[in-house]
Amino acid sequence: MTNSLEAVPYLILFMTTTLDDIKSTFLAPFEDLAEKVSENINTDKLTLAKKTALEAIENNAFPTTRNEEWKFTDIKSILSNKFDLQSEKDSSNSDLDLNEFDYFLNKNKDLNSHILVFINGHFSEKHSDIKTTNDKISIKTLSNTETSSSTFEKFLDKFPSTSGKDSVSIFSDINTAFATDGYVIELENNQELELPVFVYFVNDASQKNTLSQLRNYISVGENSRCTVVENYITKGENPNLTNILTSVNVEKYANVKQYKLQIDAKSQFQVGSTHTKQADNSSFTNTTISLAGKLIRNDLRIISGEHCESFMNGLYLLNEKTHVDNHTVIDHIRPNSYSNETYKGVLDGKSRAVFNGKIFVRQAAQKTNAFQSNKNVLLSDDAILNTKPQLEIWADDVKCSHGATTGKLDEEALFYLQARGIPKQKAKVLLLQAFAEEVLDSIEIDVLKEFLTNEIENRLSL
Amino acid sequence: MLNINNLQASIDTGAGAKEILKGLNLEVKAGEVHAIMGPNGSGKSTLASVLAGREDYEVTGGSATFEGKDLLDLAPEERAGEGIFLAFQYPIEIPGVSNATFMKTAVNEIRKYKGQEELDAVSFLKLMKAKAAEMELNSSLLTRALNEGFSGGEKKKNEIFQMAMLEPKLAILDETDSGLDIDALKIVANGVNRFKNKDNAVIVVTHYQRLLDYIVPDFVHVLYQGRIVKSGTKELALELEAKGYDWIKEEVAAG
Repeated sequence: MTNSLEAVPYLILFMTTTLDDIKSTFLAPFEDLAEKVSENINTDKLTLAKKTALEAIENNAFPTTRNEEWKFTDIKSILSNKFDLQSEKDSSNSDLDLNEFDYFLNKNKDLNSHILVFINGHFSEKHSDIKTTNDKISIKTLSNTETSSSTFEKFLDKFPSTSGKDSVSIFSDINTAFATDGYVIELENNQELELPVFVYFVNDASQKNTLSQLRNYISVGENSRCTVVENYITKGENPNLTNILTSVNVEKYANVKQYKLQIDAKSQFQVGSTHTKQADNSSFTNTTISLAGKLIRNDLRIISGEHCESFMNGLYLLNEKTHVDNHTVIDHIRPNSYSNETYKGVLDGKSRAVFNGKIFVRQAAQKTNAFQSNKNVLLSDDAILNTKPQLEIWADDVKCSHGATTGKLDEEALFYLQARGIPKQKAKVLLLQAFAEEVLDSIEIDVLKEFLTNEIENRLSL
Repeated sequence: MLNINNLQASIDTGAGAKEILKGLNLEVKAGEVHAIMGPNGSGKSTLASVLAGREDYEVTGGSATFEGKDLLDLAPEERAGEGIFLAFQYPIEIPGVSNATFMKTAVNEIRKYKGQEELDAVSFLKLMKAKAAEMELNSSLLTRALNEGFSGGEKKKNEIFQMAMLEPKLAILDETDSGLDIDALKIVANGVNRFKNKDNAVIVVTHYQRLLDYIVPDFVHVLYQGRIVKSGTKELALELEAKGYDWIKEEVAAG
């Protein structure tokens, strides 16, 4: 990083993009923010990273379907919108009644958890409830952390894929440059966060187009453990986009469970990535549940150390025109680790799902056990599924497997159930619940598991 | 109870429809046990499937009424609700659905169909344990996924266990004896005999006579080329066992 970066004039930055109308339309609202970043003379890592990100935004195009990683997910529908950035801050203390559309909390008042609520990209203290913890555990927000730059610094070196030349996509750079807030959960060594942290990311799109740009950090010290549940919710029907990036640092013998719930966000566009780094002997589980969304792209990247366990569980139940794209990468760089990926999908209506799961086993990663499966049930002739498992193995003493299946509901099984007096609709529900069971079973929060089991039934009886 | 009149049914083979039942007549009254025998490919399993409502078959003519109702008009689950039970020749394995959950759903759906109150968890469990014990069904099989990894004998016992749970009016056993060793065969037959009373009826579809030593039929019918070509009493089954089916085929050929 050199000082010359500071000289990037924001005007040129956005003038060059006139070559690409879509890009300039999308980026236009960021002009003021870009100016502030450019004019910032601080030389801390965060500021410098933001400048690097600006440069990357200038140099990189938005991915199109010609890009292999975005082949089946066309983001033109996102980019054609103009998102309002201005008066967002006001909404964080809005009178929004969470219970009104919170499928989950109001049904589970007794669910004991820390609650963080972000509305349109800004922390809402009014709606949040962070319980007291000991001083070795901290649950904060990026905007309230005076040390946001040092937090960022801590993570930057560990997660090169989150910004700059190795970033997953231009969305990550936009996030680096312009993220407004996010959660920061830090546990020192030998700590256990007993209650799960429920984070609600709310887009209030009832009045205007909304954009939430969030950057989250989870850092769990040696032999510590925590569970974080991210919920994405949209209120209203205006176009709204969540651009979110979460870095997870899992130290030795630590255990982190992260849930991503895209359940109540019908009108939402979302581009999000989770970047996890596991030190030796650690365990990480990501469970991604997608039930609604206009267009959702989830990127999950895990770098695994030695004797690690990594679980990637996914369930998508899609209908209407919902589009969900799950891209995952597990990178085994050290020996003796285990990873297991199970993604299951049920597609109805004109929905589309994309699954792309990569397993890398580096030469040093001998004795790796890596398994992957993607199974799908298509309930409608108009639903589309694109699945692509990818294994790249350089080590010679490993056990790896992958498989993908797509089919209709088993007619024989359906008839068997019907012949026992179970009506067709109910028989379908039973079979689909059974299909999803493998993923649901891995959910350790009972109320959540129960909710999802019922949701399968609700979905089908619509 | 069951009246089948000139029933014709075909299956779509992909290369056009193939007629399998070609005008079948059968009457079954309450309290009766009927055995339907016949060489391979004569239409025995088709008959069982058509009565249970399998969609693969198209009924092209004739009628089938059950207690006066047009059976062919009803969905499979409605037929079950009316009291028809098919013990499958090849019971399906359904991973993820436990045997107990499946059974509770089935019992209560049928009760709902009949306008009866659903069984609560306690009464259901009691009933299930009693019936499973009667069928010598290992209780661990109840909590396992439906038929998944069950042995051939366990699957067939599970079918008869289901029959005992659902208490149908008419039970159709489709080659329930196939693949059973003698001990399992006896357990299955005892299950059927325990079930049997003056108000219900059983149709035993089988290739061999041996099951009929234990489930004694009132009538034996020979199904050949989609029709019942000969009917008699249990002695007919013994005759078939001794002489095979060739003489029947010759009789049919001779017209």
